Amino acid sequence: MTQPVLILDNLSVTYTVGAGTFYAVSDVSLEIEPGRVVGIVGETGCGKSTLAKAIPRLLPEPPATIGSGTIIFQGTDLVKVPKRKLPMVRGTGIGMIFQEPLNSLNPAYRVFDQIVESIRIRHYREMGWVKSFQGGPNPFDYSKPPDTTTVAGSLSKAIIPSGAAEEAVRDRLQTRSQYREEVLEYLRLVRINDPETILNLFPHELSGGMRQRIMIAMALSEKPALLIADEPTSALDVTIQAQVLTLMKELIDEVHASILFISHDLGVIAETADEVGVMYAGRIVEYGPVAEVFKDPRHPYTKALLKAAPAHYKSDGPLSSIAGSVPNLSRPPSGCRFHPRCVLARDVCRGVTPPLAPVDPNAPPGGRHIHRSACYFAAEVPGLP
Amino acid sequence: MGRNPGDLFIFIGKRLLQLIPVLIGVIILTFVCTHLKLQGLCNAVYPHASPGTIALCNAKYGAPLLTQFVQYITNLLQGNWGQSTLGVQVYPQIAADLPATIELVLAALFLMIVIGIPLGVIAAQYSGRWADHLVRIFYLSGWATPTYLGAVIAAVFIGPWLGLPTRGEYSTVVPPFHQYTHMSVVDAILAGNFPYTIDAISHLILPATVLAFINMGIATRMTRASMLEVLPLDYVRSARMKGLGEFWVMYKHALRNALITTTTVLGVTAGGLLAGTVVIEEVFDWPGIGQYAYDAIGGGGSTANFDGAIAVVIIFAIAVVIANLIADILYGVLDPRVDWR
Amino acid sequence: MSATRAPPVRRRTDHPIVVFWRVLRANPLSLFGFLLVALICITALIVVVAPHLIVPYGPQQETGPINSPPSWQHLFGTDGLSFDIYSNVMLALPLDLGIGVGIAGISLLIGGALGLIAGFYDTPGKLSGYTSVSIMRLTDIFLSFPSLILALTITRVLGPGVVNTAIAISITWWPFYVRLVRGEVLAVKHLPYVTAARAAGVTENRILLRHVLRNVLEPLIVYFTLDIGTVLVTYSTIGYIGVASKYPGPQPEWGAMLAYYQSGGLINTYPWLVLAPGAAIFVTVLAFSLLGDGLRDILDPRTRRAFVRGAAPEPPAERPTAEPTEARDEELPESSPGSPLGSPNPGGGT
Repeated sequence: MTQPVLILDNLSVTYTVGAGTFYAVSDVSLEIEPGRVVGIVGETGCGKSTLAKAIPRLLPEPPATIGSGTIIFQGTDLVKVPKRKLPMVRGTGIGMIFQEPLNSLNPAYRVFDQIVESIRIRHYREMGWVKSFQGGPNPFDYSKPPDTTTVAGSLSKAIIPSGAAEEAVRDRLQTRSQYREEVLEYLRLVRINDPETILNLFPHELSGGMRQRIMIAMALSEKPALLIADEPTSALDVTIQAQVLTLMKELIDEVHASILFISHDLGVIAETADEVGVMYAGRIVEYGPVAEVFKDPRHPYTKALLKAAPAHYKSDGPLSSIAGSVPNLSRPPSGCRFHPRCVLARDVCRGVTPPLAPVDPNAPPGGRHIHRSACYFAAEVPGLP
Repeated sequence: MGRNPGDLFIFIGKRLLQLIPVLIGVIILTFVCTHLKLQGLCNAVYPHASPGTIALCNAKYGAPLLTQFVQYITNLLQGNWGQSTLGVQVYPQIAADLPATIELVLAALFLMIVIGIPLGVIAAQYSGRWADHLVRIFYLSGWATPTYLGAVIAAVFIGPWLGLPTRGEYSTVVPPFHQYTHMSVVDAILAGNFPYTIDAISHLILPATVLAFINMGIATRMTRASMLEVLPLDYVRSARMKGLGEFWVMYKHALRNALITTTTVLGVTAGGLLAGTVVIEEVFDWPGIGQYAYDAIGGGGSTANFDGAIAVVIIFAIAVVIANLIADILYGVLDPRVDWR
Repeated sequence: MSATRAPPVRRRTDHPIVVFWRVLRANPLSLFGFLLVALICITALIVVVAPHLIVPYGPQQETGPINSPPSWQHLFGTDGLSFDIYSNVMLALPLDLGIGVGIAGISLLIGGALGLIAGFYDTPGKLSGYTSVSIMRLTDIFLSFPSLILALTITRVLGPGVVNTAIAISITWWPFYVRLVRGEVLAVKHLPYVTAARAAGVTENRILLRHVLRNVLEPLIVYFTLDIGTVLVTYSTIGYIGVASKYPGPQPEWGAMLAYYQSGGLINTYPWLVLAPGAAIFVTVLAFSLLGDGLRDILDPRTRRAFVRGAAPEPPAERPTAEPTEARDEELPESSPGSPLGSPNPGGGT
């Protein structure tokens, strides 16, 4: 059995604001295996973005604090890594695509300089010229035989040298023109039509969709062991969203990477992810293979969420909503955090937080991909309207 | 799309054209401000002068203002900047003194950039913590130090303590080589005279440091403010996420953008730097235009030189205008979003 | 759509003094500056009202010992005529403080008014537009002069004396305020609420007084605080060059004191003669600068966040706030399954 790239164990993140504490992420446990895409879905303010940024320790500390738990990335607990060593993990270890492509590129540098910087970082680390994080073999899995019939497929062979080809590339300084070739290849990988022109442009001369493509190219060019995509399409126009999403899906197939995909959009998650975790008020309330979770939700919140999705709009008449309001995370409700809004809520829900337990009581213990729900009455959920 | 390097000439040319009305305004304004008082002007300007001088002066400044102005402009255009009470022509003197001042100001500017900007980065990086407080106390101390106090303390206490010379450009009055540029260090280098180069630099250190210290606040404060503006932005986060170390994140990504605003402010400091030379050159006996201005205005009870004073005001104003022009051009070069056409 | 956003965040409007204190508490340096400024002002008041309480000797009173070093009898020592330096420094305080506040104040009034006009009444093609343009051109030209050197020359023309020097500095000083105020007015002028007031039929003059002026006031006061120090340094420099006022005399002034003792070459032998008035200027200017710098930091939206630590921090995505549900518009509502959440009647669940 392959070793997971990332294991989150009871991770909690809090913000300290003045005298108050804000429990943004509570007791999140998660595993991402090589080559798997794990989606996290939830509404605004449920802590999914905090979770994404907490993994590479990108949150400003203070005000954020990783209260408890571990972030085991390739066998190392990132919570214990000192701040000055964190850059070694980022980039080649954990890459990230942000949700604000408009501002995520440095306005003062040309596209070429920004991508080449990433390639250099990776190159130097591969050569051992600069220290990098040694976390075992890089599970950024390119083992899938490239499909040479597609453009991207033939490219990925060139981009990702393996074995003898890799040996040949090693131990020599790359010239500017070699870097240029590499940058061009990554730009083509993200389906940019005239990479030679784009290279010399400044970010302000590009559209939002184009910038996000470049962000993706930049993240991929470091060949990260784990890629975190934090709402990569949310800030874009709807049409551009679709294009970037298609690109993401194709890339997921091609590079076969381990990805943590964060989105508020159930449709996006359904199309991209292998497994999904549903977050509510800082906790994962349901987890399992995408098909099972969406077809047979076993948590009242997931059920309500699916019902409220705009896809149901036409068939079900007026768009439904969940009664009640999102809890204030500086004073989260006791027990199950969904209980004030839940139709199934009983006394036990107010007392002890329900564990994320397998839905099927006969499931083999320790199984990774089984459907789990944090509800005492998971069996009653399918009967809800 | 994109910027054509050739357009840079258009960009600079436009700025140069905008300079002309400002320069005309500067000359008119100087003339008006120096002729505010028509009655008894000469007695005020030359309090210790002989009756002969006063009479000469009255003959010159007694005419109607417009006549005087036309006369002044005519002379100016012919390169005649007037003469001192002792009959020395103003223009050659200023032309000879100007390079030394430029050298001093550039040296101070260099120190401000090399020390002041990193201090601003550090203050922003540790904002609200002790490093930030220390930096702020440092630059506010410079701000609060009257130029003459700083200069006198440096000349009397710090200079001897460090063994640095406190007077003049060189240890000898006249260096053993021809002074082509009248900039002490440059001349020594041009002459290939290594000991004199060291000598010139050591003479430059104290006045330049004091001048820089007094004006440091603006550079540091502006860098700090624009860094604080830049640091929370998304692209700084993506630079961090690339795996870049904190040093590169700060200086390559954040400072590069913060500098765009700082540059404009550095242009504004030119005024402060030039004003500072008036006292600093006097204290350190630096043979520049600041010392000339000090004497022309009648500092320390010396005989005033009214034409010289007016000339210095105009020269300084032109210097500030040019400094702002350079800052403006640098801004256009540094910020890729500025359109050159 | 049945969904509603969170109820609008209630803004408590605190009394300005409360805000002021909160600002000072967040920044120890400016608190220190504030206390120092208060101390200086109280001292100056005492010197004016009841000098005998803290000023033991007159400005030109011979006290006996010549060039005596600092002692309990003579806190800052005495000079060659046995004048008490401490008394002279103290007697100069009200004058120097008054010069700083006075010149900065005059410049604020003149420059501020011109800046308001240039910023607010700038309809192109009309008289107001031309006025605005000419004010700005004049300001630009004035800003080209290093103010010290122009003020020095004007003082020379007008003749020495406190009033003449003050006039000379004021002539060169007001343009800074024009630029500041105009910038602020232009920034405020097109804010939504001003447009809304205009749409509601509020007259232009009323908008200027009620809305624009109020927003300009804050940065103006901060700049003014900082400026008092700068004026003081400039004035004392003119005093030092020996154009402003005479010392020794009935009314001492720090810059003139410094010039007088320094020109005698006394700093090596009797350093207190130079250092005492120098330190007085330094401390006064530093006090105003610390206060003004801190205030500006907090009023400047660019630096405010970093400074008021704990009051408004910046966690990236989900912004924790004391208010229950402040939604952030980062996630698009169109396709969001989250948006239908939250009904208008909280607590209606179950």
